[in-house]
Amino acid sequence: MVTFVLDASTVLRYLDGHAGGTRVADILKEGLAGQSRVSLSSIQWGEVAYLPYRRHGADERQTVLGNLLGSGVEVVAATPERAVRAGIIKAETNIPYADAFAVELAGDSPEHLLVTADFDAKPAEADVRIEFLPVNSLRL
Amino acid sequence: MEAIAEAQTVIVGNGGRVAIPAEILESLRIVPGTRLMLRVYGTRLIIDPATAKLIDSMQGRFAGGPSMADELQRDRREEDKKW
Repeated sequence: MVTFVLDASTVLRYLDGHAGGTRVADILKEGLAGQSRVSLSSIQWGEVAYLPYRRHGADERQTVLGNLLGSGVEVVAATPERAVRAGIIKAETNIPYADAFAVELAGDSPEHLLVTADFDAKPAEADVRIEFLPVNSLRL
Repeated sequence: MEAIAEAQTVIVGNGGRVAIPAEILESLRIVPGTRLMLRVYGTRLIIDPATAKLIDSMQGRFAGGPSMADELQRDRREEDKKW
């Protein structure tokens, strides 16, 4: 069974209704139907929390996170072991630290697939399976 | 939020169990295995079934504003410069 590893950029695209949002909705529906698993690193989860909170306030932040958890998204804790592996990924690929946690999680098994809108994760493509959302042409 | 049916009363049983009336299950397409999200607002308990409809309703929830994904990427790059 595929485990989709979402990063914060994919979830934000979905909430913004921008490019790739429908793909993310389809992934969430697959997860809800038990056809796949959907997970996020807790580091990325914090990023999903702070932008809606900064823009739209505490109630929206709570609703968004609650609905995602209710839809069956699993938040995977950034354990010390995972943090070390993410640090090594950052050192070796120079991708941003938060991205490194998503890449690290995607390395859990060959069935894991990272879905991201952030092309900064590109250097990790040789090590983990990555699906990039389309480039967002709508920049407001 | 407008009620679409008369309020119904159920009694909480042992272990907090509650039986949801069949017509409500049917109207909201709740089937065995459906996830229910419980939220407390003051003294009210709101129950939302997690369905494909809920996932669709979240898509574009913040549409119309500047891209949060772009803002995130800018923030990440700024933070990364500090390493």
